[in-house]
Amino acid sequence: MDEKILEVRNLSVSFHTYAGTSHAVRGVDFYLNKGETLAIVGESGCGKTVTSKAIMGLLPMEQTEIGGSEGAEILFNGEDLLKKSENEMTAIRGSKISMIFQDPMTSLNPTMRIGEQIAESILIHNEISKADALKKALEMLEMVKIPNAAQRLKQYPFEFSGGMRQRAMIAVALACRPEILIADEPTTALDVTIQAQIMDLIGELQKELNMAVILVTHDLGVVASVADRIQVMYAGKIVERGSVDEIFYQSTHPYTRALLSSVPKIHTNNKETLYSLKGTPPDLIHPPTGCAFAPRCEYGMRICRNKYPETVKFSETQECSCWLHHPKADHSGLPENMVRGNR
Amino acid sequence: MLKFLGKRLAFGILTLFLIATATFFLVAGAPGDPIAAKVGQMPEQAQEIISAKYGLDKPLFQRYALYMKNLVTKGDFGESIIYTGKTANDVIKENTMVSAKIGLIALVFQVSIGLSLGLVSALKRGKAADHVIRVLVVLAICVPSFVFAAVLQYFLAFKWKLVPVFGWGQWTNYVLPVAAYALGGIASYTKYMRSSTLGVIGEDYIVTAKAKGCTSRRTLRKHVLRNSLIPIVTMVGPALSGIFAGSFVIEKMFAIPGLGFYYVKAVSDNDYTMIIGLTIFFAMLFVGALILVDILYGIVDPRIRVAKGSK
Amino acid sequence: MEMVEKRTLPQENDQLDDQFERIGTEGLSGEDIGEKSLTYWADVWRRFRSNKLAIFGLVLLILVVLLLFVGPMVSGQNYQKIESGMKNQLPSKEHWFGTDDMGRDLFTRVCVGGRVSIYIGLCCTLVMFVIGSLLGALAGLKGGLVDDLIMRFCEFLGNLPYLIVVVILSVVLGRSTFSLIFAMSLTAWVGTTRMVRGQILQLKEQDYVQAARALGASTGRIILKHLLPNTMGIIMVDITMAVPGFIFSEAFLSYIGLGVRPPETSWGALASSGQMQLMFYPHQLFFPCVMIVLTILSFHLIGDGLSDALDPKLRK
Repeated sequence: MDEKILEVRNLSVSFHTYAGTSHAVRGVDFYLNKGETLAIVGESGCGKTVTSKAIMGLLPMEQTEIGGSEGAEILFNGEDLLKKSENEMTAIRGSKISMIFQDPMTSLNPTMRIGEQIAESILIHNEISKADALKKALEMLEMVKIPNAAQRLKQYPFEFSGGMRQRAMIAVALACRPEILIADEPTTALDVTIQAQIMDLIGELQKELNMAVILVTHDLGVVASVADRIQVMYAGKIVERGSVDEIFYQSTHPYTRALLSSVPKIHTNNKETLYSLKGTPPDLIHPPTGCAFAPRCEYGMRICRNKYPETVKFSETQECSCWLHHPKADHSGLPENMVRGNR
Repeated sequence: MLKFLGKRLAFGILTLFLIATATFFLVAGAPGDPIAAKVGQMPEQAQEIISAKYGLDKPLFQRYALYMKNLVTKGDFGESIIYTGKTANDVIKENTMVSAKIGLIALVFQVSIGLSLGLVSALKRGKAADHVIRVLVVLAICVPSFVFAAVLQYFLAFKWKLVPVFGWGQWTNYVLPVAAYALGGIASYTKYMRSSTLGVIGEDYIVTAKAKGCTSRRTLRKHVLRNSLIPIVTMVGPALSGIFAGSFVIEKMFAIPGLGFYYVKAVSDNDYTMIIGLTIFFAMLFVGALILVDILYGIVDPRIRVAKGSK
Repeated sequence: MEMVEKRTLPQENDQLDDQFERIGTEGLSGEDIGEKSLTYWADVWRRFRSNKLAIFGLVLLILVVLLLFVGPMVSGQNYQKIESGMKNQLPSKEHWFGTDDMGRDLFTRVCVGGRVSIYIGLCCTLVMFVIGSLLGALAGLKGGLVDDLIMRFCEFLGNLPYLIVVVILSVVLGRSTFSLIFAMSLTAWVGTTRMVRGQILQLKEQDYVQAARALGASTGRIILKHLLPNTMGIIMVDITMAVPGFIFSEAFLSYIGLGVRPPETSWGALASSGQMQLMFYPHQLFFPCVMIVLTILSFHLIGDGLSDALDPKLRK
């Protein structure tokens, strides 16, 4: 089970914009095991979407620079995706690694029948007749539980509701039974009741097809029931990672704590105001030298602003980059369980 | 779809009826009744013919009823009050095709060149090709077609004698008017195609197509083109009516015996009945073209086709 | 919020390093750290100003307008004075653009004609803007029957061939500057109405308009104070693009003999008479055409610059 299917090493992504070079992702390392669900969590603009698009090779080539001081690698089954030609990537996209997007309202082609859109990825990656591809597309629609699939196959996206479109989008992504599915905020644009249905569907299909899922989201609440591991990103870096239990019950980074406190709980005394994190993420055109979260961190120390903290490992799965775990740090007033003795 | 078409057709006919009515009353009902005044100056024989045909001695409203009756039942657009015996129908029959030929050839050039340039410009955004195309487009949009026509006429025909200065009959007569006529259209099709394509390229479903594994060529063919052509279709409507109406200015400059040429002639001759007849005919072409565009739109954009079909 | 667990720190770290002094969120001011916010129009102007082509257009337009008004004073010629001995002269010290077929000074005529052309363009645009935005706002705000009526009317007018309507009206009304303006702006406002209505429908749902309404503001006040300022941007682009359109139409109409009545003149009329002399005196067509092209070019550059500056996608 613990076979690594994807390994990202020292990934950095910069965009050349009018205002200057924006360092969206600044040295990210992580791995994904076969069949597991990895959640990447963070505020908008923290680099989580850019990371997933980099894996897919979907970033606009002209304005983008991918690399790092020691060279970045994205190893898929041991092969570096960054070294692949555009043609080789085309063969991988949609067949080995697939992606679904945030807004189902805009991510389907409005002038193409749903069936054709699903069949398209089957046609591209398999030697198969159009009729057979459409037959498979029908199976896919049934698989994502769209009623009257045969009839729906001939309809256009605007005849579908938001939840239905996201189901169709999942059908498009899974048509070739990929090994990895990257789901970029798959439920953000949907109603709360539909959100759960879509997450359940993804979880179910994951087991059925035995694929690995990277779930990108800003909502820790969505992650709790489906993810195996969570990594928290802030300003283009991974600040903490761990298993779901570790993140939810023993998180060690103040930013993770802040994210957790912003999730509404059912049994909250209603006089208690919901925690909200002050300030905005830093400007990535001039990224800070120290910890990017320091200016918003209530436990921030002088060193936090000058020097980036080393990564401290707490368990097989849990790691954190924060100066609070340094022996010299002032630990007074920290939340329970945040700093543990072992390092 | 049929129901929608029926409704659209009914609205078109109503529009035409209103245009015909308004044109008739505006022109014939203008102070001093220009038609009656004009007829009064004509030789007696001509006066009789036209008076008999339109009942000029009768009140305006009866004349209107008679005109409309002739128009609807006989397709009679009216008779010139300057050139006795020459009817608007003659002008339409003889000259529509001349305008149509020029217009159609120009339209083919406009659409094919304009759309390709616009596509290239959008796909090469920010590169040299894009800059060159955009500069040319701005210049072409800023030059009125008669200025461009004059420049062509001066150099190609007058100075270098490559083609006739004006006239009609040989294929060389086509060169200047078609070029002059096509230029503005090429520029605007290029401009619209560029912005429309850029809009589509930025859409999420293009990323989806790439994520599916579509090659750039397939993405372009299957996803970009169809969606970027939708807004362009609205431009074709007026252009289609322009095919038959020709360009007044171009036809006048090159002395091409098209509809526009005779319309301008009727206007400068104050040939009131001819103006009424030709105006109504132009309006028919225009309204017809708009209905055609709606049909085209439905074919290209399923959202409209289905929405209208279900209502 | 949560229980604080006091931890005893290891002995050797008891002495806190200066580097490890807690400073918290010091220096974080409210929501916006970073650049100060500019007002909407200051921001638009900043972006417009940084667009070299747009500034070039603006300067070009100012120069053209200056020339039209100062030119005749400097040249010291009268645009109507006919000198029979000076027909069809080439440009010279005395007649900078030469003379026309009646011996009139072409430079002065181009300046005076340009004033007429731009005047007509501006008047038509003003009519289009006033009728278009008022009807559009009314349709968007009132909704219901009023909206239906206005939109039906627009649909009808939109079904009329523009040039034909203008020609018919010019024929009926006779040749004068007023009839030209009337004919050209009669149906031109349809597009503006549709656009403003669309904008208003979007804005109407915004909270601040709802709030104004709840506070009992009249429809007129809502239009003037809230909706027009917010639709101004898109209307301004429309306006800069409309002026050259009208100058074009005027030129066409003058060209087919429906423009201003002589001895008044306009760029279109000048180009038309220049066209007759093209074979032998091309400069008579050249000068008015250059002026038309420069003016239209300047409006286009300004319009492009404005729409870029107003595009929220391009902000920052």
